[in-house]
Amino acid sequence: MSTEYKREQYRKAQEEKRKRVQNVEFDVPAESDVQLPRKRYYRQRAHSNPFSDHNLEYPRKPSDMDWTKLYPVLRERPELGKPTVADIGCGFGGLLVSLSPMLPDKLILGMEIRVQVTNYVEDRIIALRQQNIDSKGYGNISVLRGNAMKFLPNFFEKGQLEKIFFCFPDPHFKQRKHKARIVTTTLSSEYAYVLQPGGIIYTITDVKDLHDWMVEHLEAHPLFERLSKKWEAQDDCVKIMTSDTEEGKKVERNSGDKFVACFRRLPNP
Amino acid sequence: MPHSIVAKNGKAVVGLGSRLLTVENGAVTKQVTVDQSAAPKGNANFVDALAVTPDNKHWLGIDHYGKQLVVYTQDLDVVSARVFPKRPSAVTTAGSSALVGDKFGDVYQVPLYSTEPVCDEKGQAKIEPILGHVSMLLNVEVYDNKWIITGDRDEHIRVSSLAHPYVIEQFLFGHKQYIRQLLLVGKTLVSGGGDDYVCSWDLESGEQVAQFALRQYYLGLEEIDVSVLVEYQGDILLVVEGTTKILRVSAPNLELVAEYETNDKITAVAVDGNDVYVAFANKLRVTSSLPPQFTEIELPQSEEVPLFIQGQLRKRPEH
Repeated sequence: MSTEYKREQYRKAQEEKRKRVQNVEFDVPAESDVQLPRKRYYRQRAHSNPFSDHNLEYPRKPSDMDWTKLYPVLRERPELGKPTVADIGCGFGGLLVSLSPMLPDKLILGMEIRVQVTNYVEDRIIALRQQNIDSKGYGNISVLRGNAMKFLPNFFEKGQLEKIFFCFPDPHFKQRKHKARIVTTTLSSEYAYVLQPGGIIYTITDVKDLHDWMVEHLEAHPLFERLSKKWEAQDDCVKIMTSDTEEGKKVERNSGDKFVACFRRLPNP
Repeated sequence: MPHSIVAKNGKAVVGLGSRLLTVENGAVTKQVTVDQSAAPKGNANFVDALAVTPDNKHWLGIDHYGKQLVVYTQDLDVVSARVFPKRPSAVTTAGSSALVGDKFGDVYQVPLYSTEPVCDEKGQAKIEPILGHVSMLLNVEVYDNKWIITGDRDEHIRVSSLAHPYVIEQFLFGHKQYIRQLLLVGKTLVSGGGDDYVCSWDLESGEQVAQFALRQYYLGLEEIDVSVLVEYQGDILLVVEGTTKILRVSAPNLELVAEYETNDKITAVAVDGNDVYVAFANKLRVTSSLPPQFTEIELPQSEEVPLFIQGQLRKRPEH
């Protein structure tokens, strides 16, 4: 059997499974050994152009979002309401999976623009929920395929978020591509809009140039102030972000440096 | 073809192919040719997005291939022509500033009458944008000297503080297609573009007031693109791209007041007091009342210019 064919079959099977179990509460364990998804069936090129007209779905406005479809935990704890933590460019979901048990009273949403990667994370979350039926784990994390650079305000109301994570974002090295970087001065106004005053932006990258760029642009924005190394040392999310993402682990293996910068959203003038 | 018009105090300026004309008392009084040096071979450079300055003494326009904001005297002498890093796609005024939106999504604020260059020799901006969308900007308006309203190709209408443009006050959600026209009528904002309806909004509350459905007036048309929204005596005149009809609706409730049929496709409309100038594919007419009783204004021959034609702004997704 060729790898192409196997991959096709795998993807088809996963797609059916996603449709079947996506929104279902698990009160019975899965029919057979629940397997975590295998990355080699989800290969996709790393870069995606955020300016393209992808065939994306997004709500016309935040109140059109039905979060109960994404978070089984809402059936038991409707008071959790809406996501207040967002992982923008969540990749293969490492951060989401680690944050889930750490922030049990919060709904965490991963956004990812690449189709196959989003599918992988969906499958991963489904499998984890099935493996953890007794503890009802992982009901507070979910992933959506979306273009966060364009449509964040469609998903989140003004001041809805407490935390936004940008972990190992695409560096877009070329000068002419700098506008495509996830942190720019103009786009930071939209991040300020969806973040509540006091909310935090977390950034981490192994590319020094990108780190300097993000620091420069967020510091220049009147609504953000940089938090100190002392603050970083005492924050649990910083620890997780530094050690628990796929990219982070890859950087570790290659003995790279990781550069962290966190910012607090200030009140409007 | 006449593609852009603005009119004030009995004088009109018309963009006609590669020329600009002034029109007074029903006749063309002056013609100037737009600088063609930036135009690629075989194309005519033109000026559109014509507007009048708040002091009513100057005209503004966007030089297409030159990517310039141009300020003219009453008689079309150039006061200043400033190149922007990307082609400007929308311009408005706020006090003594011009706010220029570009196809990249950025808005720059520059003093209206200054000749100080915006770009350096390499074409890079020397100033920072005051705000930006991640999308082509199609409209910029200023409300009550306190809010900047911007409309883009990704259906967003964003309201930002004029004093602090990095503060987003709100978004007005309701459109499913690009926003091509924004019109302020008192405290009401009217918006239209690729949707087959037009919306009105109460800006202070941020609530949508009404929607006006267009399909029933354009039964044969597959795609609807609102190309004109202008105010006329407290009502709104609306034209859909490629059609011969002018619809008149009330503000803010968007109730139909009248339908005016003409027999040519309308390209642009401008209002000056009671006068309505209507540009057609190869004619210019003016009326001093509605229903229209047009008098024709003789126009010289002109070239075609490539404007936003129907369908270019609509998203056609690949994957």
